[in-house]
This record gives sequence, structure tokens and C-alpha cells, in this order.
Amino acid sequence: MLLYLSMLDTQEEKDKFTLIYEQYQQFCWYVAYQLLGDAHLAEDAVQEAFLALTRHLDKVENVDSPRTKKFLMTIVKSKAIDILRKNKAETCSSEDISLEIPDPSSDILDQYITKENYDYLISCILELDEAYRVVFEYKYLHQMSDTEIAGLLNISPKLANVRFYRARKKLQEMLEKEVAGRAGKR
Amino acid sequence: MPGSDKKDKALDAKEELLKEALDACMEEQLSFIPPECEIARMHTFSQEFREYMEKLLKTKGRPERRTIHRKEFIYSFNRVAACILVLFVVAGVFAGGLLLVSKSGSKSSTDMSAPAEAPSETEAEAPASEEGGADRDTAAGGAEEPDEALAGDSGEALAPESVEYMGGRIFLADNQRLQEKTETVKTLVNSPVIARDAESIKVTIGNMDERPIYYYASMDLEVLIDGAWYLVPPKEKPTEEEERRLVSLEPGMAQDEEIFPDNYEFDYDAEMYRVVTYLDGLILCSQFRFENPEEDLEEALEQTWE
Repeated sequence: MLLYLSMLDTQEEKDKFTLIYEQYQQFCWYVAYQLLGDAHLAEDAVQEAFLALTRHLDKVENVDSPRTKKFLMTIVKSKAIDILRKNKAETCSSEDISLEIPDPSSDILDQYITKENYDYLISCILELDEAYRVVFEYKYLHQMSDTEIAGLLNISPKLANVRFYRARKKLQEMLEKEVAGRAGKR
Repeated sequence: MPGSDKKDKALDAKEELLKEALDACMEEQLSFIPPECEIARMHTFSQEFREYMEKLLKTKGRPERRTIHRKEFIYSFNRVAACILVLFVVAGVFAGGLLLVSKSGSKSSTDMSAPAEAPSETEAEAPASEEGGADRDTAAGGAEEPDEALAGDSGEALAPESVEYMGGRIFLADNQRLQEKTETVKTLVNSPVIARDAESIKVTIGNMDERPIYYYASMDLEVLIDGAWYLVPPKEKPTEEEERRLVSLEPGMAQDEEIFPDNYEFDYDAEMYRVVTYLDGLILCSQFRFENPEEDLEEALEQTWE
């Protein structure tokens, strides 16, 4: 009985899903196309994104809200990155083989996140690799747990954690450079 | 712990700032994305994409899982049911044996107590155990009868789970009684008698309903052996993607699907075959058999005589 109960979805959920699809299908395709540069692959990414969305519909409160649009954008980006990684298997494997988390004591990103450095922070995030940015977006913007992020990225929670720390390290390095550059100018 | 509270608040503030920055960056990214209608002019989704999304929208991504689960569930259920049945039979045999042993044991102990006034306990137990042993043998033998009867019953009522077919074993189909059509949907093989050298077998699915229907393009082939339907496995199994491919059929439309004989081992003399089509909550079949050259010859001769 549980088997069948688990398959039941409310009509409300189905309606919500249909609304999201009708409203954002083109948007999602465009986001994926920007990253992949291939119309067919972009469609694949959109399919994957909507399939992933079925498991996280609870995160969508209001279909029309900008938050929903942003959430979809992150999912589509992460699915497009997934496709890119698969197409560049060798790059992916070399990165994924080492599961070492960067030394937490060297994580001083918080020191650079200040109101004074806000503009630098913005420019660094904009330059940050999309693969890292989506991890940040899932974590901070969409308030998702490591397990949820791992599920959406199709990786293990450990690797998701590694990516998160790598993303922090990368952003830290970029901010260090920016701040040092500013100090040099002075 | 005011110190740690301060630290936590500072960290929260940093996280909040990072969140704000990420949000601002996302807003900037979003600002470069043209409106939906403009993107729609740039790109038309492929047929494949639309079919996939229709399927996903219809059931929110559940049907493919449900179908797989259903098959797996029926298969697992059959296995579990068979195990339970075996357990019951074994338990029945064991219980029957014990009952007979205890009956004969009590009978022999009363027999023993009557003639011998005061036999020693060991003396009394020894023949009893011997008789019991003999009885156990008969009990086991007796228990074979109901077992055989059950097997006989099951043989009459149920077909064997698997049978020999073209040098291998094939298994009983999940659904034995299937209909060929409903009031609104119909499946039909191109001919009830197929030539042995046919390159393909066409199955037409017709939708006479007022709403679109969906069916799985991947179909099953079953053969009738001794009154029961058995699943004929394809030589080359369809990929997961092929298995999941759903086809939408608009009202009043018919669609042809093909089964390629090269992909199956056929016993051309088999009584009957059927193609099983999985539709939304419905399983339909269409039957056919292969031509019999002898029959054709007889028919030709009859015509000549006439």
C-alpha cells in the first residue's frame, strides 16, 4: 500500500508543475543554451532540470515569484554543467578523483567578505566558474542541504562538500587578488 | 556564551552578505535574458522534447517509474508468493508429520502401558521411539500424498512458471487474460497469419477516444504454449530509453509500430503469438500466428479438386 501511496501526487502539485513548465520552458532553454551553445543539448538540460524539479517542488512557493525563476535558473545551469562535464569526461574525472577537502584552516574567505569589499565580491562572483557558482547558489540562495545539493548535482554528498570548499577557496583567491590589486594601486 | 554568539552573528552577517552578492549577480544574469516570447521565436522545441515533456507533465515524472515498478513488483510478488507457497507446503508436511508422530506415539504408549504393568521408562520409550520412527516414515510417505495432490491441482489450475522454448527457458507472462480492444482503443497486427519470411510485424494502435492516449513504443511478444502465455525475450534488449519512450496518439488517429522477427526466436509451429501493448493504465494484445505451408498446400489441393 505504501508503494502506491508514495506515488500519489496532489493535483495542486501537478498544476504547479504544469504552470512552471508553461511559464519558464523557453527561459530554461535559453539559460542552458548560453552555457552549452547547442540547441539539442540545451533541450536535454531542460528535460533533466524539469525532472529534477519534480523532486523539489516543495521549494517552489509561488510560481510567479522571482525566487522560482532563480531556482530554475540554478537547476538548469547545474544540469547544463553536468552535460558539459560528461562531454569532457577527462576533465571531470581528474577533478572528481581527488576528494580532498581543502584545509579548513586556510579558509579565510569570511575575512574578505566585508561591506567594503562588496563590489569586488560581486565582480569575483560574476567571474567565478559556473560550476562553483551553482554550488553557492544552491547553498546560500536556495538554502539547500548538502544531501539535496548532491542529489541535484548527481554526485555524492562528499563530492558536493568538496566542490563547496573548492568554490570557497577559488572565490577567496580571486578576492585576495582583487584586494591586493587595490592596495597596490593605493 | 556571549563571545561565541557574537562570532555566530558575525558569520551570519558574512553569509548574509555573500547571499546578497550572489543574488545581485543572479539578477544581473537574469537581466540579459530576453523575454519568453522572444526566445520562442529563436527556438522551437523538437518533437522528442515535446513528447518527453508531455509525458512528464501528465504525471509529474511518475509513470515511467510506476511502469517499471509495476513489472518489477509483479515479478517480485510472484517470487515472494512462490516462496510463501513452498513454506506453507513444507510447514504442512512438517506439521502433518508431527501430528501423526504424536498420535502414534500416544497410541503406542497406551498400548505399552496396558500389557506390561511396570516397565522401565527406557524400555517403554525404546519401542515407542522405534514405532514412532516407523510412523514418521509413513507420515512422510503420507504427507507425500497431499503434496502430490497439490502439485496435481496446481498442474491443472496453473501453468508451469517456465517452459522450454527454442533451446532456452521462457517464463510465464504477467498477464494471461488480455483483451484486444476497448470501446475506444484497439490494437491490431497487420495480418492474423504472418508469412514465415516476414521482415516485420506491424502493430496498429488506434485511438477512437476523444482525448489523446499514450502508449509505450516498446512492446512485448508472447507465445501460447499448452494454453498459457509465455514471454518471448528479444535477442537484443531495448535500452532503458527505448523502454521508456512514450508515444502520444491524438483522438481519431492510428499509429503503426513494428516488431522485427530477426530480434526474436520464433517457433513457427507455435499455436499462437500475441503482441502486448502497454497503454495508460491499460494492457492490450493482438494475436497472430505464422503461416503453415502444409495447411496452405492442403487448401491449394482442395481448391484444385473443386
